[in-house]
Amino acid sequence: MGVSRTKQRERRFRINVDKQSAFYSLLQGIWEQRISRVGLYLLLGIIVFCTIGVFYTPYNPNQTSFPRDLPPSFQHLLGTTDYGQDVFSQLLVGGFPVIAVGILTGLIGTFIAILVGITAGLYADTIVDRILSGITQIFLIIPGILIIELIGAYLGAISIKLGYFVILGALSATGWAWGARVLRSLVLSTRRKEYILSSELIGESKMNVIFQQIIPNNLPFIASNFFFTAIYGIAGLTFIYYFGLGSLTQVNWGTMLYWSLGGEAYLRGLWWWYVPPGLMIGLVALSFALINRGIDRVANPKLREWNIKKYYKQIKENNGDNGDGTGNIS
Amino acid sequence: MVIMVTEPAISVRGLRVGYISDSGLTTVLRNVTIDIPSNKITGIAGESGSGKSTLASAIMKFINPPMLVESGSIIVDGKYDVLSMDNEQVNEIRGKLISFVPQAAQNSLNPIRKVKEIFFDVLKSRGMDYYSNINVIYRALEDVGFSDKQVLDMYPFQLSGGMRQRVVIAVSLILDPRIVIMDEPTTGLDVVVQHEILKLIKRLQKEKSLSLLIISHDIAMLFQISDYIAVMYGGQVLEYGSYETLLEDAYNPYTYLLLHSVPTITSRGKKLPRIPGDFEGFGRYPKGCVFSSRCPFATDTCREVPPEKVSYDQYGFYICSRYPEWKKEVKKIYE
Amino acid sequence: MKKEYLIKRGIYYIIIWFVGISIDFILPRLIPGSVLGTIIYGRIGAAASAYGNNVQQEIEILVQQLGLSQYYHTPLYIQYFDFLKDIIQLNFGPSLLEFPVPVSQIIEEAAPWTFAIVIPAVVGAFFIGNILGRTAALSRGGIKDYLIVGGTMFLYTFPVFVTGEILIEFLAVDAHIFPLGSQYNTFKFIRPEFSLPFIWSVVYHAMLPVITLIAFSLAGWVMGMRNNMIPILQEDYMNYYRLMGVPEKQVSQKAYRLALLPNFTSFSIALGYSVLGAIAIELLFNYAGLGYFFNEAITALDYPLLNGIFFMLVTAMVLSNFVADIVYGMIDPRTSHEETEGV
Repeated sequence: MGVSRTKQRERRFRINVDKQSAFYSLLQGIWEQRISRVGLYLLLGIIVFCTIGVFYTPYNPNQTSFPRDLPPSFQHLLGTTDYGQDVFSQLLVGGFPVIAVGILTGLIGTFIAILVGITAGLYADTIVDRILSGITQIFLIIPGILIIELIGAYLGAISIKLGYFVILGALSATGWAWGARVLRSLVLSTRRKEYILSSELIGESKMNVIFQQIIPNNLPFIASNFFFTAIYGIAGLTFIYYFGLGSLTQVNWGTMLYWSLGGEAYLRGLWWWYVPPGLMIGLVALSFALINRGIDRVANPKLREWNIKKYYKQIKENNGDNGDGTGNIS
Repeated sequence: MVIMVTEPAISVRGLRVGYISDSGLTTVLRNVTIDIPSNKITGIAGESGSGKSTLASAIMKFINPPMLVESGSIIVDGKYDVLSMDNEQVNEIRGKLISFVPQAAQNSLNPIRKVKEIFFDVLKSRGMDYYSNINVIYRALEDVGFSDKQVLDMYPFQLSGGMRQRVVIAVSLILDPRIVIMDEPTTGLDVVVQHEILKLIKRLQKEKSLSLLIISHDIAMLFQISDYIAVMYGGQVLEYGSYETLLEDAYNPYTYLLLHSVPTITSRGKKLPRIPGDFEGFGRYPKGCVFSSRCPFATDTCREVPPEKVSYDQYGFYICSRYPEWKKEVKKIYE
Repeated sequence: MKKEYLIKRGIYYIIIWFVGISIDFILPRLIPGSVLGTIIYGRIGAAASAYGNNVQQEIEILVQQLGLSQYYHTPLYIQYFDFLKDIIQLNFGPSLLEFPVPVSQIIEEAAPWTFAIVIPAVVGAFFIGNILGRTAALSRGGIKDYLIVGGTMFLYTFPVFVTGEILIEFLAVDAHIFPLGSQYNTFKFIRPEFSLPFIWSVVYHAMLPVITLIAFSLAGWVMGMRNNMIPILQEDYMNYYRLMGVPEKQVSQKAYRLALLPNFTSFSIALGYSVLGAIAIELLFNYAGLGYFFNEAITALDYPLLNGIFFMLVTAMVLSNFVADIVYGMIDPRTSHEETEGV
């Protein structure tokens, strides 16, 4: 009695999940891939680490009063910088903006890619498509980071350093081209499929076709494009700070790398200054890349691997049940 | 008991094959037991999803994940137990003893190799030289009806469907095999070309006295060309026998329905019998006869108890627990 | 058909090239002219007395190129034509940093050094990456696959200059296996000439930057090869070889050759990535290539030099993409017959 009542209550409060939706099956697919699960755990760990940094650091990360160039010890887990700052505190604080810029670049960049790619695909071989594809091609061939650096250098003339929002905007504006191009061709091939053609013929609106057919059908690619663009965002941010174009008073993994370069840490054996932020940036990007691999395998069943041994076991058990293993023909 | 008159070319015993997926193992072939006669054309008919291509793959021991053999044995040419041979041994007989002709509509030729390079690749794998065997290749091309040698310098994408099918036949026969499996040899070709290919197949079978196994969903085509026909449904062979037997006196209702649902000139104006419903898939496999859910003659016994296999000569057999009663009901239902 | 296709692509790349170099034209004109003017006159002013008339001429070129509106009142389209004329003559004006050395001379001296590390890096990464990718594809799901994919992906996501820093600290500073800084040994009285000691010195000094760049770009090739090859291994035409009894080793060799084709088109993208990587690491290695000067120019606000290098990089990217298209058309028999993708 008691058990069944709690069960009922559980049922009442359960969120209704549409298990047939493309999004749900994608999430399930990602979760089932070992490689992307490792990526998810890694990302989760880093996010927890950075969130702690927002609320608590052992020392004030801006404080410059510690002895300089101390190697790692129990007082300073990752030593101190050439300017007398605690590296571990800086590492804790400096992650949040990097991850935020990366994820937001991924979101905005993917959004632009969807907008441009789907428009170009739907209006293929019209003037709209030509213009959009042309712009896409330009951003594909001329590296966005190079353009951002040139802009940053000119802004330097009027003493403007790039802030987080400008960097985010610049990276999103340059990071969408690859996704847009692939989406365009995906939309083209999806449109050629009969069910889309027929829904166009029976007069479904383009919006409906986009949201009910094209986006769900290409969801794995869109998701993988998000992570791909997020990696570009993180790499781009690092590059911008490395060239000293970002505002250098902020504490983040990018500025840590910039100052360690200026302090010639790598020539003086101060590895604890530049390896931790570099490693953290690498791990964030790696976690994105791992999740991306998982999506790839969901989207492309041919890339999947099968654990044969598991099934041989299953067969042996089945045969044990059936006795001689004969079915309906004797 | 079966009396062995001639050695069968291929002998399949109790074959169970499945596919693995996220939801577990799905058995597709269920205890398939069949003998393919030598020097004859045998057709395997069935809808898509009946397991006929899986059977062909298993005979070639072409078993890759997610496909999986659960049990059974396949003896080729009386002495090769293919399922227990290792890859090297299988490679030894593939192409040489038992060969495979893939479907023309599929891209079965390496797209960046010219036709002669594909011959070259196959010969080289046997340590044979292309140039010293050039006459063999010319003869093979003549056999399939290419009078000029230009085709050797063409890429697969430059060939038409019919030409590609003939090239594939030539490549498959280059090592002089005795047993050949053909997968949908006419699918995707237009009617005139289909007819030419069928004539070609028949001529080649006679000249080289091949044991041919043709897999197709096109039952009318199979009846045109085959000596023996097996009808597959839901991973089982429902009926097997010489084509006269099946044409005149089908033992299983499925064969009858398949044959009579094809419109012919004589059936014009008459109401054609149809097979209601769809195969329910391998996930929800029926308890009794596999065809019971769609069979118009099915009784409760059919649905609950698996029918027995009845052999009536060296090769022929059927499974149906209602033969011959259902024959009487045909008239009631369709005429 | 093939010729038409190439001409079409060629026109396309010329348009992209124009758009690319036009960024050089637009950006300085968005900055208040007085600011750039102050910077230029501030830098050159000191040198002005020493060089006399010459300076006035140099400044005029700069004024023209950077479009300092307060000194220069011609309409924009004439400014643009003047800009194009100068650029086609490779006349970028003098460098502010090393006045009065013209930018074109600095680029002329620096570019070969960049190519000296980028080209071996791209070629090396192509070979190593494709072979690793093949190994991963053939043992997919196995331990080798996970190690190769995971390892190269980690190297790729690691910021390239941090990789460089680590290699310098541990292999050059601590272990003395590789030399520190510069393109060749400047202490041992080795002069730049065509001699064995000089060439060896150049190769020796290029090793560490090249290794860094290879580490950075390996993942792209590995992923490309692995993802191309796995579906090809399961294609019908590969299965047909198997069904004809061709041993798996020969089948995978053929699949490898097919999978290699699309990777040739990635060559240009890889070149782009490696140039970017080179720009990031040349400063670390004190390697006086384009990247080194690009860095210096950004720090010192040397706009003529910056524009010159940007022009060079854009031209290189566009050219390499075009070459990749041509090469791909030549090696894949299908491209000349298939209908080409719209854009």
